[in-house]
Amino acid sequence: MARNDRLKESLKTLAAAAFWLLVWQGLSLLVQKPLLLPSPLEAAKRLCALCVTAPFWASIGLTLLRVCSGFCCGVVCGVLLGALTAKSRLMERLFAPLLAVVKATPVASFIILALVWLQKDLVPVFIMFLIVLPVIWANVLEGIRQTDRGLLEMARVFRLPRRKVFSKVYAPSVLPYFAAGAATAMGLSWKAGVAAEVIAMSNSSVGYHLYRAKINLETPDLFAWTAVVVLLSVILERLLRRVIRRMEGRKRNAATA
Amino acid sequence: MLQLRELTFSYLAGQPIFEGFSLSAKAGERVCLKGASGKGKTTLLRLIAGLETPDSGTITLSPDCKTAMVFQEDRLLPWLTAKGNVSLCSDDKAAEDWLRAFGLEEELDAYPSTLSGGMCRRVALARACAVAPDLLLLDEAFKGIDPARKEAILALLKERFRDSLILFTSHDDAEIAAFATRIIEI
Repeated sequence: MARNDRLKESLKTLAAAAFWLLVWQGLSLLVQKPLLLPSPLEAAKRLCALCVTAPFWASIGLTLLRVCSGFCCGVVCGVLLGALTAKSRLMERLFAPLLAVVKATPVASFIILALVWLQKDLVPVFIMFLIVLPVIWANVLEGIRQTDRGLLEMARVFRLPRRKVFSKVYAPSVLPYFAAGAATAMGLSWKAGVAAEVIAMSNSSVGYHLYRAKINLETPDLFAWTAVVVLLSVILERLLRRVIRRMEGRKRNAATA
Repeated sequence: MLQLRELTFSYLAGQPIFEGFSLSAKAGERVCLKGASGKGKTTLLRLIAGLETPDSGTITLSPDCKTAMVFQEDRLLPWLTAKGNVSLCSDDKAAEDWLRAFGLEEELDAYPSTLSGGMCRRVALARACAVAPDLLLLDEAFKGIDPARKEAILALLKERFRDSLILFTSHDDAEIAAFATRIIEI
């Protein structure tokens, strides 16, 4: 995309965001009760005040650490299980009920169970792991299944070593499925992870501050912390997309060259 | 070098593609498997390559026989360049040499999506040749290559694989006449 086009796109996005901020401002003026709906300006002021405190950054850091830990564990286990179940029908049958249960169980049930089983600081990590695992697992499994049989036959005839079959045939074939799964899982796990922090009241976390804001009826704080959650979610998703784009670089070049 | 004894194979039970097929071939031969479509020429090559298992009969290859195959489809990895595809199965030097030999010196770094059908066939041929096979299986390998180029490629294969066994399928009588040392009707 040309630089001018990119600038135009950014301006359009900013205009849309400005429109919704105006709607929010209008509604807050209409309601006239900051306890129910503070104005964007009030929320921004509160956010600025929070930004200069050390606990604010410590909470963000710890929440990010939990998100990344849960996400990475889920990705690693999801990839391994995807590969294992793609290789063996028996393993797929064995793990299929587990996958179905994890997918169907409400997140709240898992959070409550995790509170019984684990230290409260580990609950969000565990919840994110549970959310990420089935998404990555299903996508990797599908990616392996959709790998071109013709290419695998070619690899067999030419007796390519397993390492090469993995890196040159399977990995590039699975990558688009993995990328789609990772992007979905990141969005889902972030929301579930913050919800787990709220319920578990994990120490020094974004979720804990959301909970405190709710019980102290500090609505501007609630909005400020929610803005932090949204912002971090957008940043994490963009970072993830950038990493995946880099991984896909060679493949994309091949397709568009 | 290659011995097929009483080979029977069917994709669907009770409908054999061929029954009791036998063939013996030695290094230096260029055997053409000829027959109408659906008679099992490709299946036979797949059996020899170890991609299918016969219902009955035996396939015997010399020990340590290095096999390479050009499939009916190019089966090139779209995310690798022409050179990347060939060197996947051999070393870089052999890959480059064969691509040059097949007139692809300008396309070493080109991706399959940017090559013509004939060029992709030549990359697939280069990939098979670069492993220096003892047994070369060519399934309509020259389809889509222009006649002048094809003639040069056939001459090159004859010269470079004098000591290998080549089994090939083709519907082109001129190609068969120019290349085969033996024709087997299926």
